[in-house]
Amino acid sequence: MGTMARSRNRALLMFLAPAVVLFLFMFAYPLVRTIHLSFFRVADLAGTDLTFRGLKQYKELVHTPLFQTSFKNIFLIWSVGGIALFGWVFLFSMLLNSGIKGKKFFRAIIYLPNLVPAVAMVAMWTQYIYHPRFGFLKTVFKTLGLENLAKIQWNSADMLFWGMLLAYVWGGVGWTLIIVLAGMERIPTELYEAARLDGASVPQQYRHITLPLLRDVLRVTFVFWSIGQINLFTFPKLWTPVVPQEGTYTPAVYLYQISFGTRYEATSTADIGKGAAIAVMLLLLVLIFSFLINRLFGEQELEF
Amino acid sequence: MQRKSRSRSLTIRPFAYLVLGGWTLFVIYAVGWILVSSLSTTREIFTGNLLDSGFHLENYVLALTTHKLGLYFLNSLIYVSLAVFLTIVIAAPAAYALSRFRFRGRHLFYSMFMSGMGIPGMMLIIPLFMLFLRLNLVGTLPGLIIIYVGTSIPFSVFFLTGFFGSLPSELEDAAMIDGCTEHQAFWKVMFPIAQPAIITLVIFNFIGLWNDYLWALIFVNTDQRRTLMLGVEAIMRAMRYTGNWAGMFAGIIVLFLPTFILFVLLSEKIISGITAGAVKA
Repeated sequence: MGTMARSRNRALLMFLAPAVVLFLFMFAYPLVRTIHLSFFRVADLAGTDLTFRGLKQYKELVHTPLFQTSFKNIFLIWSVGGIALFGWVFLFSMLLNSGIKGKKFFRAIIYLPNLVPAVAMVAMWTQYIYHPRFGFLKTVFKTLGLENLAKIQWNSADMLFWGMLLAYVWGGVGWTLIIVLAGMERIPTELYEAARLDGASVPQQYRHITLPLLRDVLRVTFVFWSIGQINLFTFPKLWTPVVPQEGTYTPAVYLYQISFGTRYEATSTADIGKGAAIAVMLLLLVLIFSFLINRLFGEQELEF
Repeated sequence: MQRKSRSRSLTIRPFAYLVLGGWTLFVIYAVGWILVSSLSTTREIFTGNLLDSGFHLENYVLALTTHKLGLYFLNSLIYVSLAVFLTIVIAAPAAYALSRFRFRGRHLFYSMFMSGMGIPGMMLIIPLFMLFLRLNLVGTLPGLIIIYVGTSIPFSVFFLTGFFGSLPSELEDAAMIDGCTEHQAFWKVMFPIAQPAIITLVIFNFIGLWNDYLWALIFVNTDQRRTLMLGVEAIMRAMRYTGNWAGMFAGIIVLFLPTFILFVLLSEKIISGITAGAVKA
């Protein structure tokens, strides 16, 4: 091998190696180990005490009521929250594209919650907007004379989940919105002109031009939404900062409680193997959903 | 026909202003209320007579010193800055190699990094924590930085590979003809040219890591080493005992301020960066 090729190969190695090594350490090793651990009872985080349990671990998990609740919760967030979020995104995209002034300003304001640390958002909602004494909603409803609405106890056990869902969707609209808007900007205006000349109304234009041509964008945002909700952790965990309630349990929160609970929180028994099993199930769900959504939306590039 | 459709879009516009304006007012009012409350006393908050006794800046002093938010702010700054810097140093050469060198397994490595973007953090925390526990890295500065760099690598490599791939190949050929080694060609020629992409990536990574909760929670949730997010969460958790609402709102503003400033200065850049990345995906 000539010296040029040798020096080239050496350079290649030095450029690529650190990233690859770090990747194997951070992703490949934990991935394999988590799957491995999911089949064992793991008594503590030192990982020395392992007893094989095989698929029994998974079966037990599926039959745990709290785990079932956590799944129900993310399903509701994914479905109801998803419909609300995407509905809101479409509404905003129509409004922002109706030729108003200050489109960039409004777009940035809607995106703002996405940039702000989750604790600040959660605190804003649970400690101020939803507060039973001096809260924003209570004050507004009272001023409008809507006594029944003013009485809603957003932080109570009954309303906890729905209050969280509202706040979460409210904050989540921005990210999806700017991606959808960017996708819409790529659609040539001539298509809309032609449709208008043919007598199509605005909703009809939406249905026959906008939505089909946004298919790729919608596919990507839908995949991200699904993955995000399957793995949802931060928002619900922060919503009930001391101890999670039934309404704020997600599989990821449950994973955290049973794996790290004894170390940081008040949980009494750790069951880290089950935590690993939850992680594996979440990964499988992510893979399944990604596959199905990509199938559903098709991956062809649309030419226009 | 045209008259009909024009008037239809005209009627949407006032409605648009109403909805969007309402949304904006809500955001401004909520944030403003929290800001004003942070400068009042707790009693004033409950009675609704905000700022009756003037500006109570001691709420902030309390938050920064007793609640240690000053320390935590510094912690976050150090963690995130170092991590972002190291990420660029590691990811940029890798992205360059993947996009400019032709070698067997090139696609394999690229797919490997891409797959890293899809692996949920939940899959990683248990083994990594167990490993770090054994290595005595839990609750330490280097520990969290390694985590932050490692988790930023896949996206950073993906992002920069796309950028480097779009540059003409004559650039490093010219440099090499002038006698540069591959290292010089990269650091002295390609890397400077990549400034706009690097800056965008730095902003992304910075914001993403600044807002991290899961990793900091698991790896550095100690009294001395927490991040700002965890510090404010600690105030929230202590509310049961302290009941210091004004102080808590002060903490929230402290947490909110850096990202808000970044937002005001850079919102356009951030938004265009996201749309560019998503289009590529």
